[in-house]
Amino acid sequence: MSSLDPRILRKAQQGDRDSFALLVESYYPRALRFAMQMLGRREDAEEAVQDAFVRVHDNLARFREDAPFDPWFFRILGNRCRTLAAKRNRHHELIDYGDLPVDAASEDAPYEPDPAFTRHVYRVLAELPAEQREAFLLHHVNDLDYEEMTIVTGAKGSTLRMRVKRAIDALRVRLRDGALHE
Amino acid sequence: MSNDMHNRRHDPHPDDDVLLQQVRAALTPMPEVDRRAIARILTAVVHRQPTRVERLRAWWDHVTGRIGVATSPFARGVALAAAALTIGFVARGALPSRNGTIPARVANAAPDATVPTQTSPALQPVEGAAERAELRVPVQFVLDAREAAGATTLHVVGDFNDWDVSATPMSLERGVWSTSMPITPGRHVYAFVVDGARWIADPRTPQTKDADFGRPMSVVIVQAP
Repeated sequence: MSSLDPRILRKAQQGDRDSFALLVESYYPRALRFAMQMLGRREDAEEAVQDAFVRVHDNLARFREDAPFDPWFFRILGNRCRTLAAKRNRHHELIDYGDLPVDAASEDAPYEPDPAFTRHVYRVLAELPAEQREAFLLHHVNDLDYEEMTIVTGAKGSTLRMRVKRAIDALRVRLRDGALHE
Repeated sequence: MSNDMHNRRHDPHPDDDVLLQQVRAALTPMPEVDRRAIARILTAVVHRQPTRVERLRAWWDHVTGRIGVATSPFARGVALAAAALTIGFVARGALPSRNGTIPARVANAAPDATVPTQTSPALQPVEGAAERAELRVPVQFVLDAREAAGATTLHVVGDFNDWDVSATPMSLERGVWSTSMPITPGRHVYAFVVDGARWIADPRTPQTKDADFGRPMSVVIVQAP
């Protein structure tokens, strides 16, 4: 979840450029990770993230302070990713492994990711339907709960749970199939 | 706060199993961030000017927010259109001005000496051109940590912060020192100061010599928006 100081958000809403810069610095890595995992190409991801932050900037004054910022931010970013994906109209390609620092495991990840396994995960992720991929990433990678995901996607909680479940089932089957064939 | 807010992935959940945790571990690491991409975002928002629709919307939000009106999107659209129409009529002089007079060019009758007339005031621009000297553009300063091996602190100094060694500290993350600060457009000279004492030039930019002390300096040209 966001570690952004609420005071910085408030100052950014009031037009303080340095505070907005801090907001961008704070959210950019997560935004880029999500966009790369959704779109599959770094170039597209950076474009979507840039568009998203410009829209965040333009609409920040209208953002309700008492509302959680993450769902609002990911809704904008998710829309940008979907728009760009539709525009590109291409199958998701595997991200070049070199983009991801596998030795930079987060403190929440108890397992050291195996490079080959990581490549396989990204390959399978790219093969999922976009809606399932998005739901899985929002819930299991970006720590949003289903109520927040409803804000992001506009879909009902039951729909989102089904998408996440199907994504997990597909990952489980394809990753184990892949492991058997290695 | 709903129960879902407490159902984070670290709580026991039917979906949790070893494979899922391994998948999360594979997907959790952050990608390398290109600081130039962040700089592009900050530059893009500086250049951005609100459109006429955005200005109208902001005005409407301000008005309804002040009087506490909760309106449906349709009602807002109708009101915006009415407001735009009103503004247009006022601008063209079709509606009474503040003192209640109607401009002669709108009245059907020929100008009458007994009817006070006034020309419609020319609309003043809502936003005048900003003074160039006041405009500041966010600039990212970046230094690979290997260029200042062993440094515990790093500051950027230049003509934009009066060469104050302590004014602009940089932060170290993932092997890169960086900071961002707004600078007026133009040519600027700067350097990095390691641990408050050792001055080094930015290896990635054109260099020059300090006119007073001969120290190596770097030059950056900040483009005007």
